[in-house]
Amino acid sequence: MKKSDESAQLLTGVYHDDWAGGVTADFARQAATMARQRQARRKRHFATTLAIAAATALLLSVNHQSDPSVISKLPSEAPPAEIPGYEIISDEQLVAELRDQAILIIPNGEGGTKIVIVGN
Amino acid sequence: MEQSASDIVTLTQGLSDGREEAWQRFHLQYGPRIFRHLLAATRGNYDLSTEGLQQTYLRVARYARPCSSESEFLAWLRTVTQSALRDLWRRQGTIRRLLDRFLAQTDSPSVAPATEEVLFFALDQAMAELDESDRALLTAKYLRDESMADIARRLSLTTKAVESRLTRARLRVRARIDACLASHSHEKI
Repeated sequence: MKKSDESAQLLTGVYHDDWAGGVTADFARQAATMARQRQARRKRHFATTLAIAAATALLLSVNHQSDPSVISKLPSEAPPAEIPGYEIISDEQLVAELRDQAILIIPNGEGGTKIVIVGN
Repeated sequence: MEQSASDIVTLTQGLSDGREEAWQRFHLQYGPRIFRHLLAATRGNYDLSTEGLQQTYLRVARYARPCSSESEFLAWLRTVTQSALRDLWRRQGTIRRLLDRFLAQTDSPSVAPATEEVLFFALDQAMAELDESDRALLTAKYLRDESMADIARRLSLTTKAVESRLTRARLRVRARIDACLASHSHEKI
């Protein structure tokens, strides 16, 4: 061991007998706990913000679809040769499908919106 | 030996995430360095240095960010440590000024901080002034990492007796370091 390393080790021991397990180790544990709590708060804040944004966009989208001028543009029935790329479901079915998942409501540039389910 | 860049990234990310193993590694590898810096800056003030260590750790927990090299991490750590100490001094100064106003005493002059070189010099002086047996005891415990039980067996003493002798030796060394730093209080080597 280098002389400077020896002196450093001796100095630490003289002032804090049990560096690895004593009161200074408690400081490290306390700081680790604080860091974890901060991370958890950050994640909760992000999830809450995302949920509010999604709910707001969904509400706007539902209001837009309830406009009669929009409904009249929807085809009353799909042409027999085509398979529709969507299925119209009720609000209750949508909430049941989403459960606790976060969603993104993205405008599609044509006055409508596209819903994307964000993975966990 | 300097840590690799990936080790430092892993460590600093772990500190930010609050991972126990990262904090334990940080405490063992970097804690003593932080404490020495505080001890030098406070001229051997054990209480202030210990409190400074705690405050530094809390700041690291709050502001830790991934660093790409050890030198970058050490520079950031120095800044955080100095900031923690300044806040403690400021708080102490406020309390002291309140007390001084109360007791109508003049402020004691502030003492320039020492360097780690002065601290190590003081340690060498203190160790040289110890009895051979106390010196051997400290060396066995902190440099050779011998357990209390092994030391007690070797010296034909009880563990309790060894603990008492070790505590007295440590206090003697700390007192000598304090005296040495006080006598060099006007110097900054």
